[in-house]
Amino acid sequence: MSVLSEKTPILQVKDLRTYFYTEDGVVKAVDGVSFEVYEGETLGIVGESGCGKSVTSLSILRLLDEKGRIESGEIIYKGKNLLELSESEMRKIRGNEIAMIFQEPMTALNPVYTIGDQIMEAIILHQGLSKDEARKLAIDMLRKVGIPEPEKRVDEYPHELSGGMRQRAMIAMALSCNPSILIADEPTTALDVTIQAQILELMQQLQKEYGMSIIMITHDLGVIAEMSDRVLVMYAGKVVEHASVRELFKNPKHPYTWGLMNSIPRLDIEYERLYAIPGTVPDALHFPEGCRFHTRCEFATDKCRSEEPPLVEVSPGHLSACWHIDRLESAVAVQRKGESA
Amino acid sequence: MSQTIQKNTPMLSVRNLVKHFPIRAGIFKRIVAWVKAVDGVDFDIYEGETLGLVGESGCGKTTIGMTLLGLYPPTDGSVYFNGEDITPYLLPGWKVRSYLKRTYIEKFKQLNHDEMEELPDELKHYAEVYFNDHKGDAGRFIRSFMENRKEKQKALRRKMQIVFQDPYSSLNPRMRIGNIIGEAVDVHRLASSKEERQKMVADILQKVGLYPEYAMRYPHEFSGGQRQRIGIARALILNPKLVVADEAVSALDVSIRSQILNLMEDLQKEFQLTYLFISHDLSVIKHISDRVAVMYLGKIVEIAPKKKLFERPLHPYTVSLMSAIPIPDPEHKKKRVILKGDVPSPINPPSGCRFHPRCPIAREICSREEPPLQEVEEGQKVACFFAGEMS
Amino acid sequence: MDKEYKRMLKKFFKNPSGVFGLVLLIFFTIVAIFAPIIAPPQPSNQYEPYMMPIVTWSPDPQPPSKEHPFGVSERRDIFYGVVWGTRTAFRIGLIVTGVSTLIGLFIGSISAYYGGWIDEILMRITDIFLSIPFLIAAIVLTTLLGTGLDKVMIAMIVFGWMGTARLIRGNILQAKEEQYVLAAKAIGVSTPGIIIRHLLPNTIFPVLIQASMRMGSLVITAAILSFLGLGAPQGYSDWGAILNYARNWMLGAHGEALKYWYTIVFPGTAMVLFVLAWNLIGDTLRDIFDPRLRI
Repeated sequence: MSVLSEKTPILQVKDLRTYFYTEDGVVKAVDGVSFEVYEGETLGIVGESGCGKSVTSLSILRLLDEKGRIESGEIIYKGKNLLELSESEMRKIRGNEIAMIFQEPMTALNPVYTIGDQIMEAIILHQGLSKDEARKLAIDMLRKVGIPEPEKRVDEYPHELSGGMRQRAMIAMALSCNPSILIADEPTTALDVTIQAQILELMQQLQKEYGMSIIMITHDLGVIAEMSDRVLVMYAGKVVEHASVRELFKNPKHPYTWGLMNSIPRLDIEYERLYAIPGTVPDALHFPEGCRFHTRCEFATDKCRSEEPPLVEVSPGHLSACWHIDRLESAVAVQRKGESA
Repeated sequence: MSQTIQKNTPMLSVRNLVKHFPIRAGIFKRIVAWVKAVDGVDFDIYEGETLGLVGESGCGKTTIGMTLLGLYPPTDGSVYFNGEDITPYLLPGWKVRSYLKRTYIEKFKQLNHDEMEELPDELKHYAEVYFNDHKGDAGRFIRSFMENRKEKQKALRRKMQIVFQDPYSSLNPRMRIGNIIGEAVDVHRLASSKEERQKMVADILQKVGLYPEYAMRYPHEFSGGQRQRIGIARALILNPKLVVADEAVSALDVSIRSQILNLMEDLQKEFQLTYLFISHDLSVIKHISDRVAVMYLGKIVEIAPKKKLFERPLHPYTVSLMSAIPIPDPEHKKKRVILKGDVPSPINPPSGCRFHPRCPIAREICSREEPPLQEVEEGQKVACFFAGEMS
Repeated sequence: MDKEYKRMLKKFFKNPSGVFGLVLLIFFTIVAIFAPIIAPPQPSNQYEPYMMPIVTWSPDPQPPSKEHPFGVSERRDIFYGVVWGTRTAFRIGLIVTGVSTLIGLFIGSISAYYGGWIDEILMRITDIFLSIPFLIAAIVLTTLLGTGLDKVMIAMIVFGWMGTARLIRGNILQAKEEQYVLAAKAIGVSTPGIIIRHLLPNTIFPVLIQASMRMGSLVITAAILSFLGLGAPQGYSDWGAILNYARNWMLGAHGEALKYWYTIVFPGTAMVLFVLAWNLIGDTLRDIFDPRLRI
């Protein structure tokens, strides 16, 4: 699937700004983020802690706590602006049309109800099935997500399941109403790698079966490479790069993306020494002026310190927000030469 | 990071290390079961190298680190530092006598003099001490371990230090950085004056890439990466020989993680450190280690020089673990082994080979007999009856 | 941390009930300090200024007047008793809270840090103390030791440390697993060093908050004991003792139920406000330190 395809997107986020009003000041967690999600594709959102990737997904479902406020922007889902819906209309969207799974299923599942009760609650609420029918569907869903002995497990409590099984149960719950979009917020971060492999495979297989779109939020470039069709790279509340997954990994066009890719140790490549992006992630209360990455960027000039670079198309379907892509490209060329030599 | 393995005596030897935690229940807090976190582990660490210890949650890798530093007393087994048995200093005082009896005295009593040569190196040394220095007097032998116990424990603390995983919980929020790092100086009386202490703290702060002025600040004023640097400074101010890094970079963001990994490599060169690097992340382990030990459910299943392990893993678990890691390259297509099921509970590990219920190549013998950790190729030890079949 | 303290102070002063509590407390402190000026003792009893002077020989209470603004009860000046009683209240509160908190801290932290059978024994002892009804225990203890304010205070200390011990034990059990404690052990810090430098500073705030709440309730307990005649001797300036005098007059006179209101209202109000002050301050501190504790 190419970026900016001719199809109409199923979800469109336009210039979203979500701010948090804390005692210490305003945290501009998401500050002008735009993207779209097409039917059946997986959009990866990658970035480090505090870059705004999770807040973006919570904003889509309007699940922010009382300190967070969506300042401006539009979230168009099937022609409706979700930000203009009433709370009761929104409830019909949540779980039914757009479902979400979280990093730690233990906190997302209610410990005093059985797995079955929690899946059935969503089914009865959204699909108006009877209790018996809902239970049957719940068992079917548990079987589909690969939970052994679903007739027995349906009556178990969350704490009786292992971490991997709980995440499967969460997925079963999220998919029980056949949503068009599944938002997965770091769904495998708390899991062991062998279990992560199971869950990722399951998600790919279910996506094929149900044809839903997935928004995959993660800090792990490996998971991104494996799962996504298109990728959004976020830094300090902004999208810094946006491209198809192959293009992004082949020709990164933002110094942050490039730095990130070079700083991870890899199984398939041997580095004598890792590249390290200098400095620390800026404090969300005091993001730098101009390009927010300039404090850590080795290509930064005075222009970067004063003017914010816009997110523009630099090659077909490839967006980047950087003033000095030429400088980055020559550095990459030197690096590639060194590698091949 | 030397690729060659020294053949001399190891800096640290671990022999049949066992750590079981009791599970208590009921009003009388009776022990109802044991968590077999570490269940008979042997390995050596040589001076100047980095041994990577990798495995999934609950495999016992962290417990090993904690036990080596005396934070948990071992249930069984011995630990040698430069050939000296340090187990008595890891155990509480009242357990030392029975440990020494079990490990040495009972064996030595049944020993003919000519059998001494056949003992493993660690035991041979103590057999000589027992028969020659103490003339076979068990009481004198035991007393020699109990004398100056506190001092010896303290000396050991200076040789072995630890860097923790969580940069947030590993620093006392109510202490200034200067005191967090300087506490070790006070405890071991390394500075003769306030000025000297201050200078030591300032020096080590600079070595880990922070400003000396930070000594006056509190932990909450720092980011995760900076806190981890402070944790490293706290460990290094004692000038240790061996540093246990327990998931030291796991909680950090990608861009910060590489900074800390580079720093640890630089410090290793500068201070001639030996690392035991514990992590669940095989890519990090591959980057930093010289040799790698893979753990599963309280056991080492494979231990080998890095190159050998990553070029040709021999244990089916190692193979599956490697294939499970997503490669950050969309063009990279690989055959993937997806393991069935979950990691079993360490309270009731499976019979025979602990990996057999999830193993793609398990056969009947695997559920009956436990495969020993054997050298299959030079320097590469594997605990599998069918080593190499999957690679 | 200095910044942190400033922020906490700012939060405290933003909370109206906390400020009100603080104002009340400052008022009581001033009264206690300047008691000799507000209600100067007569030359006859300047050596024992805590004894309320006898101002009349009539056994009936006398309503407030110019000389005796709070009235007279049991032949003694209520105003004098209420003013000097402030000192008694502070003394009981501070000493009993201080000593019992220290005992609780000691037992609780030893119990939590060492765990195992030490914990088991200390906690069972705590349970035994908790299971004895306090009033009965206090009555038994004062019959053994004799009556008097100091004996009452001993009784309150002996049966007052268990809450602190349990609270600090729970907090330390949690904090003990923190990595900074393990790091301190790895460095070789001694056990007292770990408890004093690492565990207590991170666990003591809830205890201090609890202590400030207890300050108030202790004064009520002391008053109950005085009311039962176990506490202060006849004529001693103590709010509980003054209320005890009112026992005979509480029901008023025939046809005039509220005739002797002043025998209760003045010492009673003092006590209520004193307890309120500590509770408001404790509540506010709790909200600042740990908003999750709010129920």
